[in-house]
Amino acid sequence: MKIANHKSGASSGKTKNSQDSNRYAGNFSSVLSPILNYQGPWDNQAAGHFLRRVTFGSSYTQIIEAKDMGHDALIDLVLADQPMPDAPINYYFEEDPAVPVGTTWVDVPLTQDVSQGYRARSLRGWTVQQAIDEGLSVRERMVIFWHNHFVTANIGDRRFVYEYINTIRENALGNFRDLVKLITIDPSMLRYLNGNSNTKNAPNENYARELLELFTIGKGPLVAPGDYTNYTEHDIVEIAKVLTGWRDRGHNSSTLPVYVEFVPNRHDETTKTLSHRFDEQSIENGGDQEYLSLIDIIFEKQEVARFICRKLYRYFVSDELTEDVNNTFIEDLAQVMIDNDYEIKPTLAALFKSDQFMKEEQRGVLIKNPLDFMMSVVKSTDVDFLQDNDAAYYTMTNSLFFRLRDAQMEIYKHESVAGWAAYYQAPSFSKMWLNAVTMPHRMELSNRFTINQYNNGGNSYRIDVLSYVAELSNPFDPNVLIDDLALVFYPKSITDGQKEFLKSVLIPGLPDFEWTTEYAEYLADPSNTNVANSVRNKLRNLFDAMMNLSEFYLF
Amino acid sequence: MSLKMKRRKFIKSTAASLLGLPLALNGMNLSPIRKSALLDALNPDSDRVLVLVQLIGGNDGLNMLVPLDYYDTLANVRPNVILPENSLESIGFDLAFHPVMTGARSLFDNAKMGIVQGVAYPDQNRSHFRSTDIWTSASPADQDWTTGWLGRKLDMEHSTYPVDYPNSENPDPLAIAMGTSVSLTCQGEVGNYSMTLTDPFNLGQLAAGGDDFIPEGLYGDQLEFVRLTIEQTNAYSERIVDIANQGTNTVDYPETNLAQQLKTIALMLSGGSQTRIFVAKIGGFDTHASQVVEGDTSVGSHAELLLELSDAIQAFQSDIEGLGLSERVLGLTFSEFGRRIRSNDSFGTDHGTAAPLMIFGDCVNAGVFGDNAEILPDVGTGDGVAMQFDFRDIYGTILQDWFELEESTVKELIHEDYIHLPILQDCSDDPVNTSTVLDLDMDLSLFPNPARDYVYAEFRSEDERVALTVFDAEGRLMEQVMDRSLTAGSHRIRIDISTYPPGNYFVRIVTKGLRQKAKVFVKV
Repeated sequence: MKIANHKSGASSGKTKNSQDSNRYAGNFSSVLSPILNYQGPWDNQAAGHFLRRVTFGSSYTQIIEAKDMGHDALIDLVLADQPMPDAPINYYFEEDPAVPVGTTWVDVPLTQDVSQGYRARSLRGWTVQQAIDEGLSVRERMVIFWHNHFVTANIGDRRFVYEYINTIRENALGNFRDLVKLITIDPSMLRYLNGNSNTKNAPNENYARELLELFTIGKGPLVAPGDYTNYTEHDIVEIAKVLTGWRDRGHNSSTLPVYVEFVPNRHDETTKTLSHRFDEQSIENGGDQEYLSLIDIIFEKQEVARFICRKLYRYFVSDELTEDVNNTFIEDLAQVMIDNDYEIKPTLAALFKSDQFMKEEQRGVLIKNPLDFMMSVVKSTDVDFLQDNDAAYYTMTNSLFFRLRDAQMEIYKHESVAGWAAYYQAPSFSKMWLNAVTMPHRMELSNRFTINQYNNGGNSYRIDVLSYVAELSNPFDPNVLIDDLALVFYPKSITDGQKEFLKSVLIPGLPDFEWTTEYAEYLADPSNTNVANSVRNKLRNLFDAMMNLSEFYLF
Repeated sequence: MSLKMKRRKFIKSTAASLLGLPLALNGMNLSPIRKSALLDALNPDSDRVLVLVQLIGGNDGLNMLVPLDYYDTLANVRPNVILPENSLESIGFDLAFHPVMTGARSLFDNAKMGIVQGVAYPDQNRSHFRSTDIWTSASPADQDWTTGWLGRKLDMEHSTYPVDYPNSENPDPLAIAMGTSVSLTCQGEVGNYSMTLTDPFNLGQLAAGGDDFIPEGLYGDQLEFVRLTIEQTNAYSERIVDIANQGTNTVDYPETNLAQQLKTIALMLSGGSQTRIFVAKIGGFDTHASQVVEGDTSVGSHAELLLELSDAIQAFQSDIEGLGLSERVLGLTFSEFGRRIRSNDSFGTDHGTAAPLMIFGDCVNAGVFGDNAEILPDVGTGDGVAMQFDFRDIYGTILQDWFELEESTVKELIHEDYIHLPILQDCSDDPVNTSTVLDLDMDLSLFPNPARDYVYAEFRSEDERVALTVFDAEGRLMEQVMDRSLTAGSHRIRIDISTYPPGNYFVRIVTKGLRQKAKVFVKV
């Protein structure tokens, strides 16, 4: 039996999600939760903290906008549904007759004897563009979260990769259970974890093991032979049988579209019985619907909610998850998730509203991942990427993609199914991002956009410092100028000593009023290039120095 | 690289509050270090270097070193991946390397390699994740240790690290991890000792400035870490560039990733690096599917990996010899687990248990330790190769013989039941071709076999403590039957197996002198 649209399987497994989503009518900040709400003031610092953790690279203007909006309205805004982005296009390659320049390749089979390198470049650039183009929304950050949660890597045919990330993006703020159902028979996942060779005669346990250990319930302590508290080795064997029969089609094909199919004679039709960890529940043969029953059974266990809430906590809140937080905050957040039938929006709303997420001592305790770092360099400073010029934008973002790779965060190519080590490796966690190899890459990146320039495809990119500071509250006063930029760049206020240091970079050895005078002179006649250059260079030095402070690496 | 060339003084005072905490292993008796008798002939001033080669993903030991005495059985249970019999050339001991591994074979033939069979740990965990943590931390399978096994050694010797490092006595990183991520083996209580390194010629100076205050709390900890990373990167980078420029290689290396990592290590050593721990990595061993090509089992992804591994270590060893450093350098491979005995239908193998491990260099006691994996015709789908040696005993022996720690210290760092293994020897001894297999035989026999409710284990011992444990075929510990002192002579121990599910089980005997042996019985 073939399933033309493999997503039909999962949607038939939906329960009451649509009602649940509607329950709040977009007003997620009203979600009921036993968790203590944020107690501190909603000021610029609070709004800045919120945006740095929830979106990518927020600018000064956005922080002020968020502050004026208020905490609740902001939560609703970042959780609001967003339209799906346009599919990636062929932006330059003229030798594939099936995909003219300017059109998408995502649903076009490969052309024989034509390199698909253009698709790889297109996908890479497009992926970075999603972070740059994202407005005040948490969706893109959740796309990265889920990509790191449901890792697939090294898939050759980029149509597969697009379909995979599209499924994630469509469901990034949807329902966790539904997302697991979709991912279980996602064509990339069937390839990556060998689901496509899992048959009744030769079960392959790779996906079954990760489904439990990494994707849903997590592994507890080994308490008896083969018994990992939350599940047993026996469950892996039985679950592998449930998942037999699925395979992907169309990989690297010049004729076939990408789809998955369920092959009944590869499916194990016996009754599968889970261990006492799943209450010895039996799963009768259910053909292509069977995996849905299985996932429903797994999600009956509250531990699934705890597991994903812990992971969300480490992603959004802190590396440090104490026993106390685990027993109280995580327990409460998991309860919110369960009360809302594994809907992601209400869960995130409760998290974002909480004191635990917002309070002063949580600010700046995470080290930025390479994408966060890059976005705080280029996006919070409004670098102009010539978005209207497809070729330029794709070329540049393709280059930025490799910067992420150099900084050890290559997207679609995790080293391990467990995801990036920074999100699981105790005790270092986010410290894993920084070392003697990655540190110079980061510094070089910020340096290029401030003092130097980033040359790519015949264009030069850097921060337009003069336009940027014009938007600040009072760019005439060097102290206020630095304070405003510190609000954008740093998680907490910096010391007076640091401010003096930064001012000495901006106006070395001069009194404050000299800056005021020079800046006023520039504004009086912006066409006077000598004055403009002089002011611009001073600002570039300041931006560079600010991005070199260790505080800039935290958020 | 257009970074500012700006040197700053190393942070000292501010770090004290964070880093001055007493470490768990402080107060241990460190000096004078007693040289182990085995290595008395070595130059006491030599700086010995350990090069770890991590095979990421779980290496299929049965495809790397094929037990020829079980070839027919293996051909039955892994028909779609087994190498053709006529491609296998015995190295003695009824063992054959994968035919692509001519480099490793030449090391072995020249008595530069020890092969330890069946290396694992009790209660095998088959998660990559968890098992890698176990191998890198050397923790028992049921405990979470957050420090690495070499990290604990370094914690003991460098209790104030990273404050005031580098310094005149330790000008170089205490460990170097090739690639872009630090090695968990070098994770200490406070920080990770390994500096990542890709290209030693291309290290610039990082700018920093204006940091004058470290606040309390987690924010302060993270800030401190960023600053230290910048400082240390700068301080070490200068040395590394100098050393790389002074270094040289004496052989051509293959263009593979692993070979290039080892080439850099040899270059750094020849240039005078005082780093004593290097970690190289090669990924891709998680061969669930297509480990061989359908129709030709001698090629495929696993063959390519083994070729890369074998050629790289051969080039490295010959370079190190050419550089006159071979008495200072010891190499060790490890992987988080072996793979199942039965193959799957995807021309691959799933997560298993034990696998052989290779130790190479001038100072290894060359040869084969342990028995060939026993392959039974009715081996279960989930069965891996049985464990014969605990990897922690190999680590412990390296700490004791190579890094000259006291046995009692090794027991504290690794585990209290650590057993010294005769895997190293005096480097100046003439290499003996294919040294003798360790005599492990305690005349262990099990009867009845097959057995139903109980089985007797009969064996001989000296006046010594003997531990007897039972494992199932997947390497899971069933029970420790006994652990006590016996008098010299024959013993017969009754093991109650009435509660065991039907299947194959292994009985393992351990005594102080390493005598151990695994046997099989089947319960019907």
